[in-house]
Amino acid sequence: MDRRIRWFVMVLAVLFVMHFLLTSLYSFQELPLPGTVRSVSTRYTVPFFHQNWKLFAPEVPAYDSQLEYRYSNTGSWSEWNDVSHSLGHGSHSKVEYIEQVLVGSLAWQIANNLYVEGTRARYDLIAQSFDYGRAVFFTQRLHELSWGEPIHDSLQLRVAFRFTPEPGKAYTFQKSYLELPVFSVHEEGGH
Amino acid sequence: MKKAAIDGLIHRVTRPVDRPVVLRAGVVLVYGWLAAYALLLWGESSYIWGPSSVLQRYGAPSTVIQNQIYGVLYFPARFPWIYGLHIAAALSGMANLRWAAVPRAAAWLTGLMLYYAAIPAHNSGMLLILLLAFYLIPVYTRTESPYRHALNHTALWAVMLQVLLCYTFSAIYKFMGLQWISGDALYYALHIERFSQPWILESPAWAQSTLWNVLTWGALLYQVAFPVVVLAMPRKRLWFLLIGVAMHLFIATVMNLWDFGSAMIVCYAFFLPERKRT
Repeated sequence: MDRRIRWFVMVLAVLFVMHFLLTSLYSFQELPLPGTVRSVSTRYTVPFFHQNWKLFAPEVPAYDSQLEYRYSNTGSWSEWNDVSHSLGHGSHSKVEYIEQVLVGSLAWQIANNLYVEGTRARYDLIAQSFDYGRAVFFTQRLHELSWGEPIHDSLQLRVAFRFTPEPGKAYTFQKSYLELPVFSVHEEGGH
Repeated sequence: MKKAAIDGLIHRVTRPVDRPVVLRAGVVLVYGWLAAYALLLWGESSYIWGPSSVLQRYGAPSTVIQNQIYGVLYFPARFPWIYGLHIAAALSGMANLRWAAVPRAAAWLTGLMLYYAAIPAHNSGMLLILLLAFYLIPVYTRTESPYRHALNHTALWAVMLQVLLCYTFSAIYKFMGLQWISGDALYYALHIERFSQPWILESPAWAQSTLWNVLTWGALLYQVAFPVVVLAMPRKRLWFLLIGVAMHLFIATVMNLWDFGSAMIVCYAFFLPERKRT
């Protein structure tokens, strides 16, 4: 057998095995591995072969969440409105999909970074997060694209939660709202 | 013994693939999916990509590769060029021509650029198709070259293994929670407006139906059984894949994940049997 084709197939086989080994280690982040192995698998996989197979696992959120906002341009606040719906994007649009991803990460921030100091709820860690920043940017930009002019003064976001009742329990829905601090557009990032 | 086994493997992979039509059809479906996905997002593309995108720009690690892959994010004005090139390359990549590897590589790279410029707009459907697009770059079935045959075999095995791993990892993650085991995962998912339909949300009878428990367990069982059935039970494979098509049509239409559902159905093409030509 031709030595060249033999070597070609052998190299191909090694690349095949290495590729699937490294991308599999990357895909299963919960597997306890030495730091160097984890680093090699991540550096190989990202950005070309990034993948995520959680697919509604391990748990599905037991609530529906929507991103709502109000704004002030003339000193008085507007009504609270769902960001994507009120700006003309239906439940099944990509813009709504983006909103769901953003509000999902904002809900994670609320669950993990909202804390109480004394008797006051503290939002500083949430307000400093990338998740909050991109939710504000999304809202500002979508408002500007829909209304033809930007928000000049202030903007406030809130997350509307609709909790799904546990199966077998009374089929009633509890709604609650978590208002985030007012974002001052004037100060460009101030709160 | 070891040498004989290696020689046997080399002899096998340097001959034409057993299922050339399946491989060809798979290439057309994967690159066709990329082109169709980009075209279907045309109406909302100005919200997703480009200078007026609603997605905030951010910085990734500054390496030569990352700077190129994040090119559309860093330079939003490039979007129309990359988007147009992506569609043209994906359509060209569907052809079974010697030089098709060039447009296929371009479709894969521009697909990555479009993905990384708007991560929250996409899901694992696009990631899966991008992986498959990478594996299929060198495929060319009208060849006599043993090197090309080896690449064809590798591409087909890589695609099949990738789909098997997708189901296997997904099943493992599902067993790490409680909702899938208790059968309640679909009940909770269908109470999220984005992944549901008005006829479910507005009807307590539908919303609380035990059908969702059955489908949750069915989906979990399907994912666990997938590698076993497609590898070890060739006679049952076709029927099994049809059940999977029904499951992914449900995900695509009822749960509004048309991109993910269609991507998984595309993957099934690579598992179809093919009659040997006489």
